[in-house]
Amino acid sequence: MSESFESNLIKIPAKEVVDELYGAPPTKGDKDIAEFRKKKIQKPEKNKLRISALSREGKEVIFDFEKIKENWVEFYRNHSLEEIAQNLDDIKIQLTEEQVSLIQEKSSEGFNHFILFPSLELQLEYLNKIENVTTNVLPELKDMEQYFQIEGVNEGFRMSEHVKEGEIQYLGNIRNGPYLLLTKDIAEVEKSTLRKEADRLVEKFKNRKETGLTYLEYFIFQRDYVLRHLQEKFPHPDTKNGTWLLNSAKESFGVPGTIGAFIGVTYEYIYNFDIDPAGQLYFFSEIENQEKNMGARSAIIFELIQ
Amino acid sequence: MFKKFKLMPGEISQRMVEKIKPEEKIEQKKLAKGEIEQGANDLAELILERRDLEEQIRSDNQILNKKDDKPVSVKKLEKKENSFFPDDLLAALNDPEALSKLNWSGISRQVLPDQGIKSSCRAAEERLQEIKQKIAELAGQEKIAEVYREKMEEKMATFQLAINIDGFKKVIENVNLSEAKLLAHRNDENIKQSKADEEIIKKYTLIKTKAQERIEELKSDPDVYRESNRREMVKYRRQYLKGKIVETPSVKEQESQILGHLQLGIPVFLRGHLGAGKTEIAMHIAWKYYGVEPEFISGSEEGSKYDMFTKMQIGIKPKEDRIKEFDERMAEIKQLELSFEDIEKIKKEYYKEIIVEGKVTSFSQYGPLVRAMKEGKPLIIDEMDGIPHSILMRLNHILTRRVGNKFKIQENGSEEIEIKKGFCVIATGNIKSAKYKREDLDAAFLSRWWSSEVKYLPEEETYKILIASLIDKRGDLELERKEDLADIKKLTQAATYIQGVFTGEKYDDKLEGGNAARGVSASLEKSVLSMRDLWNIVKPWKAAGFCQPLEKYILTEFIKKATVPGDAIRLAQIFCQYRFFSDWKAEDFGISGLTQAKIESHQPTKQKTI
Repeated sequence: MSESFESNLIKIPAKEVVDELYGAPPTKGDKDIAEFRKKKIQKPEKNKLRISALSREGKEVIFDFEKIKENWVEFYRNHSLEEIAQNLDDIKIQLTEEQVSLIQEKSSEGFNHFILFPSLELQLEYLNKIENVTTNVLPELKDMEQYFQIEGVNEGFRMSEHVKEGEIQYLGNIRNGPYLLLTKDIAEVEKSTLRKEADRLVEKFKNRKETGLTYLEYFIFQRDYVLRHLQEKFPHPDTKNGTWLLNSAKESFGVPGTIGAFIGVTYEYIYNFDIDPAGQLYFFSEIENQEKNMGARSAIIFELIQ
Repeated sequence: MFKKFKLMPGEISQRMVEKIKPEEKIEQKKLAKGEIEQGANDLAELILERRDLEEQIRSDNQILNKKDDKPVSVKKLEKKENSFFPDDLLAALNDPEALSKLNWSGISRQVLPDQGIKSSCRAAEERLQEIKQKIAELAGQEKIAEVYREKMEEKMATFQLAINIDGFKKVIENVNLSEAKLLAHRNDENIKQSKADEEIIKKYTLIKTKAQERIEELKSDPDVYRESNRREMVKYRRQYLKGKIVETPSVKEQESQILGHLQLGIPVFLRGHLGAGKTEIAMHIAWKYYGVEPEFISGSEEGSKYDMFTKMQIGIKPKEDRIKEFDERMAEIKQLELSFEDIEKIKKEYYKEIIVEGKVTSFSQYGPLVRAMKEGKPLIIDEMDGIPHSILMRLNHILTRRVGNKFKIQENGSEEIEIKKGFCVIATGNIKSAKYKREDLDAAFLSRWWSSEVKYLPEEETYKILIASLIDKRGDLELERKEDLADIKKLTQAATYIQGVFTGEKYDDKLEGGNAARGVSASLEKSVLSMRDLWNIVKPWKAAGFCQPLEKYILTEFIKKATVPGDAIRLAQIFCQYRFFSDWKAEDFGISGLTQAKIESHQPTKQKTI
């Protein structure tokens, strides 16, 4: 007589156990689909840097970086910033794969406008000149739409006494070389940023790999905006609300800040740069009897590999 | 700069084959392709079995060689030479003459406690020899050995990639900790973050993104994906077997949040329902990140503040205190203008009186709170809401103290102690509810804590942990029936539901005590199915070889342990809803108050259809 001592248990191999718990691994078909999706978005071609992306509305947009560079070289040249124009003309725009992916991702979130900047060092070298040439009289604008003037002399933005005191600090990204700034071509700050403290916005942007603007970036931004909206009723940006300039601070205050304000006078508003009690700099325009709210403009910085 | 794998898959597989090849060349057979493939698969299976047997033999021998641990009676028995092994016993039991001729009383004394292990070890040794022989035969065939090598090379490559996934995960974890420490340090010193700090944090973010991308990339290979997940399951199993907390993603997330606050010097208060794992997570943090056994105050047991700070003792002081006292007294004597001889005489007397004999005296001993501060250890205040308010107020001052600060203990003659690095406070307490008789914690007191709720684990994590407690070291799972797996899943789902009813998050007016007309949900008063309870159900189930249905253990190990009768009825009803006890009648449960109607209304198969 013999007894059997074989185990009656069934063995479920580890492979099946993990499939039950974690789901089956991606199949070849899944991988092919993922690859196909990746390929649908065009990668930049060598020496002809064009990026295809989708806009927020789901339409295809092309960012042609040669063209972007040409436009900005021309912008600086037209504003008598020859050395900056020359410096930027000499660069070769090259983007890493990560940068290209980020542009595509942000494009679908509504970021649609590139601004090309020289290194911070060069910006600071031409600080006063940039302030002057981006706020001088624009013949295309009506008299009352020009910036602040005193006795017929253009004064540019109106700086509050607080802003004038002390050195401006540039915070956020280190910008050793030239860089592209991707922002939204919109007249007013996004509603989602309104009535929020600057510190919170800095944090919020950071979490989305975004950043605010510096004092000098705002000068360039607003002039570029005005030039492209000359025929509109309100050619200047930020006529309804104010913009925290999150990446600039007043040294005397020692906190992140914005610089604020320019100022011009148009027939119905005045542009101001000012600073809040915490040292936060901002820009706003004054219109009588209108409540001003502060928000911020988000941007993404793409440092250019040289 | 970076560490590399010492051996690449090709080299490892080559070495593996060389190890199993017989020393002498054997005759090469003509083998068909299918036979070579089968031979290589058999070889892989045999090698795994060989490893298991070797491990068993090693472990058995360790136990059998520990003679000193055994009681004397067992030792005596072992001296008898003619002890019976299972085969001898079976032969005797099958012998028709055994009833009358054999002395079973004598035989019974020769069935020794170690025989089970000895017999198994002997059988394993025999099987090992057999297997070694078979391995040599198969590995001696060049073609089989080569196919096996190729298979192993592929497997090793998968292992290495899966190991790298673990590595990338660890990189992310360590970068998070490193970042938290940097921020904590800046905060501690009240220094503004520099540009260099920002740059480092930016780089850390990039490292984490890239490491995550690499993980996804590696996981796109099905073999690596499965191997990585298998490793995770095996890791969970190891943590479970060691009695440690199982570090699932949600636990890790909680850990890093708690640690982030502790590093900033903020005390942490963990709130949660019964069995959610508050104390376990607090202890785990102390062990894992501080590397010490924490000091522990139990709110329900240690009600006096004197227990927390110092304890008065009557008796002879500990030796080190006696030596200290002796030194102090001698120092005083030396101040006096006494002759050398007098000093020596007094010294001898003091030595005898203080050190050798010791005086019976009252003295104070540091309590856990003071010990934690002095020795730089975490302090866990378990069930803080069980401590009277007046005593907790005394803690208020301590909560604002930082490392390096000094603190005076009133109970000990205002002795001043310095808080050492490593001191931190974690408290636990129940969610405010009528279920727990607890003190209401003062809002001002609570504002000093970072408070976080420890929730029951998500269902999918509970399921993974439960399965991990059942798999073997390779990740394979042995069950009586394939349907058992579905039962474990149902058990996990029922656990989540029970937790929901217990916390009040789930509304169920159909259970015992609920009232649909008045919109009143039933509630579990004292019973909740926690992770610990789940283990208590499946552990005996596994130990019994899964031969009984899981529901039997659900009833005996959990439902019947409910201290509130209504809870037992409600639990039985919930399990019926999850298709356990489908054919059971009310009397089968043995729960007082449970009627047939109360059960049938929850058994899906018995419910009337309209």
